[in-house]
Amino acid sequence: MEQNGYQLALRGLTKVFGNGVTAVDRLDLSVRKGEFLTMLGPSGCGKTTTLRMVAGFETPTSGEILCDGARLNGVPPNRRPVNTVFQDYALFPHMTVYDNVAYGLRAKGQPRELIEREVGRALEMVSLPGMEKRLPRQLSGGQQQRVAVARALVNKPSVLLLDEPLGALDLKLRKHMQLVLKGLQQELGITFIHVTHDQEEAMTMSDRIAVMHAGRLEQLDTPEVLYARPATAFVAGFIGDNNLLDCRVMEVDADTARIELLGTSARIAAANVQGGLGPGPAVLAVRPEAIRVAAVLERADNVVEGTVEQHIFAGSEVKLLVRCPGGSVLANLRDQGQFHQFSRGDRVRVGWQRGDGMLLACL
Amino acid sequence: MARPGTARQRISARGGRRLGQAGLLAPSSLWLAFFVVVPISILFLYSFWSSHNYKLIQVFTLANYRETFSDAVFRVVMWRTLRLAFLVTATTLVLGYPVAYFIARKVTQWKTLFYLLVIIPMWSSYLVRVYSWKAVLGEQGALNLLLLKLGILQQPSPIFLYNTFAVYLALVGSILPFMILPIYTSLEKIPASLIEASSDLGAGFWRTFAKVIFPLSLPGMLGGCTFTFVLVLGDFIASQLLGGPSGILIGKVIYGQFGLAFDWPLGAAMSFVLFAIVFTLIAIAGRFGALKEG
Repeated sequence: MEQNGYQLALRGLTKVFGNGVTAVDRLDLSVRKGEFLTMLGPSGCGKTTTLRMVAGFETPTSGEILCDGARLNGVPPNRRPVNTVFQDYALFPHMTVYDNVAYGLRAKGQPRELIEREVGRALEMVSLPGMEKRLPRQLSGGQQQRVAVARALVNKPSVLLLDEPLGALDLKLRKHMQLVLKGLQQELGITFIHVTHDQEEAMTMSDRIAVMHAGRLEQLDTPEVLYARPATAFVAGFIGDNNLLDCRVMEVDADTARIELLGTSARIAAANVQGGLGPGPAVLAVRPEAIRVAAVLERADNVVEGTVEQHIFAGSEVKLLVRCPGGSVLANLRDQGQFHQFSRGDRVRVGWQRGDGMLLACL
Repeated sequence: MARPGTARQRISARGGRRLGQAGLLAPSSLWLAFFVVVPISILFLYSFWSSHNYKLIQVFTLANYRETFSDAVFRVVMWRTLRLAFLVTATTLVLGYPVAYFIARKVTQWKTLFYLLVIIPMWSSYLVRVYSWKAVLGEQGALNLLLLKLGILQQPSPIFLYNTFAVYLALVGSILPFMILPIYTSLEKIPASLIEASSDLGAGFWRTFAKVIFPLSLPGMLGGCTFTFVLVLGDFIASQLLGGPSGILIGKVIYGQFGLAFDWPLGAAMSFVLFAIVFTLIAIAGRFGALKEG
């Protein structure tokens, strides 16, 4: 990425807590202007700590935070050009919706007319006009969430930080708010950094996703690339359903990697092999939708024999779990009609193409 | 659909819960009824009777209330007591708030220790704590000793003891924990994210304190002030031991009616006038608090 194309850059950012736990470990991350970036990872991966360092609530142990080219290290939270939407919303319980949203503008000493206009506009933006005089406790969870978003956005931050903002909402409302937030972000063109552990939410909303694990950045890319070409076994397992099959790499040449797995041998295109991977134990990640199942398979590069272990009906998808020597393979059937062709205990062949799946180093 | 059924279940469940709540409250309610409401009601009856030659005359009269209101001493002492109560409340508030703030929001590791330090004085008898002020303010007390050592006084002075100021000092000292604890509790309850949010939105420390922390600690302050105020109004020990003639408080006057004068009806009437004043003030404070909380 070009040097000045970013809005926010983290350089070797590290946080070691007093108890010796390294929450964030030499994190390098550049966020583009106007981008919706999600930091995704399981709890304890350091994503929230990273966000809190950007907001100024935690002091980095080492490394730099740059925003619009200026160093943010040592700048107190109230002087940073970023605003946060908190996980529990953190609305001031003793203030009305209006006073909550006006809080930031008042702190900056803006004139009264401007505050009135901007607060009105912000509440309209999150579809809450007419709620000015309500107290937070008189609002539903979804409404409180939108007040929290309005309260942050009214300050026109360079970067909006969202700390698992949808975690407390029920599924239906969460889906709705995902679209609302995404729409707001596109409309306003403000850079959003969103933290979540929900990979589906990350896929839906983000321009790019930074997958974090144990304080480190595993992969930073668009949802499509993360899905199709995970860079590590962790990403392959975390994003979407995946078959993570233990295997052994026998040899890798310019065209093909030859591996042994599930009691047979298989070939994987060299382009789908993680850089630097040589002979030895590895993991093959193949999406269930890339797996084909049939009694006889002619047109698959790699074929393994197995027994149908389970039928799974999941609405739009029907899945088959096939027991093979040394592991099980999950397949999404392309044709719903295929579902009834198989029953438990049937001997079948499962297969996939050499260009499907990624050969990755073990976790 | 089973909607009506579930609704009925919900109602009966709520009824059950209410029964459970009543069960939990029953012992303390009975205790209060027998040991507080009954004696006070009897005292209330007394206040409409009279006493003659240490004998109770059970004939209805308003004479005790008439005497209470027309008694100049009662009025002077009542006024002095109220003033002192305000003063002690204001002092403990000013002294106690920073302590409560410090323990609730600044101490991270030794919270329990600091909390204990506030409570420990209450483990000793109130009488002992009041007496100890004699050892400080008396003619052979620590203060005189210090002033003699420094050459400020040539001979020990008796002026520090037996006045309203001595009572004030003792009351502030012994009541302070009752101010600190409720404020501590309300400050402790403020989620850290609210303070972070304030800072995130551009407010510095003082703005955050004025707009978020202080308003949210008002219930605790109100509780602390009520405790303090009532404790001063009801005190007679500090007044008795340290007050001298100029430091007499209303508690001591009432105590005198029951003990020395043996005029229980008049003492009862005075008690209920005091009761009415306290009740009015607390009602006003409560209304104020309710307004503040919206």
